[in-house]
Amino acid sequence: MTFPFVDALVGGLLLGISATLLMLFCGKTAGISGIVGGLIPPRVGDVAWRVLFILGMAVGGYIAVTAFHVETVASYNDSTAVVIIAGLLVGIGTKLANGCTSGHGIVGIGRLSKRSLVATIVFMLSAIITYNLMSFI
Amino acid sequence: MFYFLIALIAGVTFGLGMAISGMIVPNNVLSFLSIFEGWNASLMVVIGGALLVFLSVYQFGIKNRKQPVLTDNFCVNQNKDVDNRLVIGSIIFGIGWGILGVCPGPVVSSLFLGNSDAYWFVSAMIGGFLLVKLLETNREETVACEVQ
Repeated sequence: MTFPFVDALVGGLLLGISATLLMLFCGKTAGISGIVGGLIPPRVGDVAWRVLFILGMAVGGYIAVTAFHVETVASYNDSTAVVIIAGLLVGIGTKLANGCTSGHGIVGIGRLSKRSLVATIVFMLSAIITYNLMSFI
Repeated sequence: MFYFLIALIAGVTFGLGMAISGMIVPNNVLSFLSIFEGWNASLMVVIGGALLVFLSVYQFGIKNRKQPVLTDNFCVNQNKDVDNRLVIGSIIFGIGWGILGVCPGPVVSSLFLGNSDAYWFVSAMIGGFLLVKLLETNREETVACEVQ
């Protein structure tokens, strides 16, 4: 295997620490579709923590790239139309499923939620099938 | 006050984790999905690492607490039913994820990296949230949280 195992592990541990902090101290799920989606529409008294978390994420990504020189991309390797279609499907799907890779795959599975385990298996299979079908076309 | 500080610190930690793990690079995700050619296990290592911390602390240190440290209630989904909405939503999410290799965590962590596609993606994703909201006007939020 050629991927940087240590980077993946360290990154994963940081995601786990983040989810633990947010749940233990604030009682909130570190699920990104849910944190962003909770702002649409914004509800009085339920805005600031979401905005701060999102802002923090963008700053964290920036720090990693500028200070630790981790790899990033200047654009996604597809046309803007495909980026928009993918974003739309991710928005619709995560709203219906109440979660994405982080909310279900980390926090939900960590809580041993049956719904999250099912969701994670289904979206992984769906993504694997989609990717492989598209690479045959 | 500390409540908001923790939200910010947890956000920074999350963004660092997403970037360091390599998940902000779509090819690292797509090669995990590519089970027939050049498969790479990094996504599994990332989720495994995250669960190593969160699952153990949650099961042994958080689950039995009456309340979080800085507020009154845990705001978690109490719904236990595996329903069509969950399965259909997960299928649709998987299609969008499989097309591009981008999901919400990595794209939000990329907002300050000069990648304009990240803004297109997040705008379209918010469009998707709105679309579901508009089609389900009578639906109540399943996660009832106290207003902070």
